Amino acid sequence: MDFKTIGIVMLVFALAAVGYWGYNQYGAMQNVQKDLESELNNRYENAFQGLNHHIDALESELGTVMVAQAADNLSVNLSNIWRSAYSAQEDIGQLPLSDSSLDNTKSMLHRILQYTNHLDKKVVDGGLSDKDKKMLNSFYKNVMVANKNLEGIHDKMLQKNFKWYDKKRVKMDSDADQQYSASPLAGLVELDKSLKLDEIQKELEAIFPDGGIELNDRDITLALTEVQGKTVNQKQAIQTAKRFINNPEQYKYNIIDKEQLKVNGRTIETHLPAHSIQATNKNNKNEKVYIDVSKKGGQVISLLNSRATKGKKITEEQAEAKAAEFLKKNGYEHMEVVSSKPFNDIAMIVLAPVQKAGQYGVIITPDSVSTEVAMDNGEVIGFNGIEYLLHHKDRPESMLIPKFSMEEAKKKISSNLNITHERLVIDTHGGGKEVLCYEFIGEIGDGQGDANYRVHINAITGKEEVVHGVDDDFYKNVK
Amino acid sequence: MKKLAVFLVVMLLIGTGVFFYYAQPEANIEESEAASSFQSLSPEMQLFARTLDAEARGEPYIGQVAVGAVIMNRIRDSRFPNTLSGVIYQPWAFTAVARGHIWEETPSDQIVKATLAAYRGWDPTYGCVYYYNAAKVETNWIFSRKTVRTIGKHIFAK
Repeated sequence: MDFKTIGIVMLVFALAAVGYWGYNQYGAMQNVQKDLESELNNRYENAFQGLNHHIDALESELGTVMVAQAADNLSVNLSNIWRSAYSAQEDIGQLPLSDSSLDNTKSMLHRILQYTNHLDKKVVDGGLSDKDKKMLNSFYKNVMVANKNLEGIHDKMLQKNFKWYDKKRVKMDSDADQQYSASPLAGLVELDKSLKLDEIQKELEAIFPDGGIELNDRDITLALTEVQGKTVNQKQAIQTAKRFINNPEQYKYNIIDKEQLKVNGRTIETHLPAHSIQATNKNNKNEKVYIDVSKKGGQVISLLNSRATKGKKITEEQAEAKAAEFLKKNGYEHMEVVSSKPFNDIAMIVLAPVQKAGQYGVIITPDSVSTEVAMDNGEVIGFNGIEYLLHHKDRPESMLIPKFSMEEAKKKISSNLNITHERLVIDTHGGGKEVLCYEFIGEIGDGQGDANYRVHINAITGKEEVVHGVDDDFYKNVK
Repeated sequence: MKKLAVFLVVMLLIGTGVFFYYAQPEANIEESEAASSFQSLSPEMQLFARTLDAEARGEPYIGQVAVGAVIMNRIRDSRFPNTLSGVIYQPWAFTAVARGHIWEETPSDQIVKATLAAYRGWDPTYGCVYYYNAAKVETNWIFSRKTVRTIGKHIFAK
């Protein structure tokens, strides 16, 4: 045997070995892929089955509430409705549908959630009124339609061996896709179209003429066009922005918003209700301050400074003082700190205006301003005044006088709460109506948890309006 | 001939070695996380920061806050899932999430700041729930939405 032959034989074996290895790898990869596809399809199938199940349950529970008379049965059933509607929403969120799919269905579920939440409170005082029953009937009819359709769609899916993962982002746009109309998903589009959301909206507006539940999502871009004051141009906006910066001469200013954009050859209009200014520090190009000034009224809406903060050199109290000072300097009168929490070397401080009425000082929470103070030098590196801009006005004095004292209100507070703060506030609850309340903040019992709780006692009616936990969970809770 | 054979065998061995080296699954070696503010975040906030990092890494600070604001707006909007992780993990909603890019690196301090600002209510988009890359528009659907503004390479719409 000479080396040539040995060499060739070795090569052949090596080639065969590699070939065999490669074939195995390919097979293994195919198996893994099949497993993943199968599991992924299972996730989507589970979500769709879940949706079917919860809509079915929802129909049954809505019917039950219309029949049941006893208050405690009513209450349990309303909770069931809420749970089924919420679960159906979650199921939709787990399906690979494109944006704007099933909009009506999602909207309907949202309305059911809001309405049953509202009813749950009513039911404790008494039964359901005829108006309530009529509203529930409207929901019931629509859910029946959805339920029947979903069953049919699912059936068709099974017949056609439909696999969710085939489609990636399932687009439910019947106008676009022709081959689509034969698919089971076309049924989902039909279902969504057949829901009578407009009627439901009208009925709800008739029941809640002045709020009570939020029927119209607020569009901030429109709200900002209704602010008091004259329209300002870019130059004026920059002048206003300079007042919010420490050494304005050190910065270079330019406008970063555009009236029109070109996308794929099409021109689209923007609807930005503000002049958006970028101020770059001439000595440190890494520091950019972004300031939005409202076009109408020329007020600063927000400020965001991108510079890195370098450690904690001032205390939280000093940071709070800096925030208050900054606001005062810029024309925000009578602002008081309502909450303050540091994250490493940035102090996150919320302030609200205090309005006096006689001997009382009331904190107007809907007019809050959020700030961020850098704890290396006390500079304000974040400002968010949108709520103040949209809501601030003097409230009528009659709205600010409580009917009983803080001490009397305290008697209504559970002994489980160790009160650390107490004050008089104006706040909005749910439907947007402003209410005068005594606010108590404290910890539970013997310091079992980290969370604080906030209780609002209506200062006119004495009713316990709201109780909820107060804690920003952005810090790690691991101890 | 002998030299050729030896040469071929050596090349084959080197080739095989190189092949095996690159065929290994990517080891995710996280950078040493000495004083990064990312570590102070709770797990939920870390997910939020990772998403912002993957989606808006090279964008200006205000653009990063804007992407965060879109996510926060989706939580409150009835058309989208109700929780932070629900919105982020909604199937195919964010390409970077679907493809696992959010695990590639530790978010910078600036991203962490942007996450916090968005979480605490800063919203340069004034209520938008959609954003897209102008250079990568594939369907005409987005033109039916109301466009609010553009920041960097993103366009924000309602």
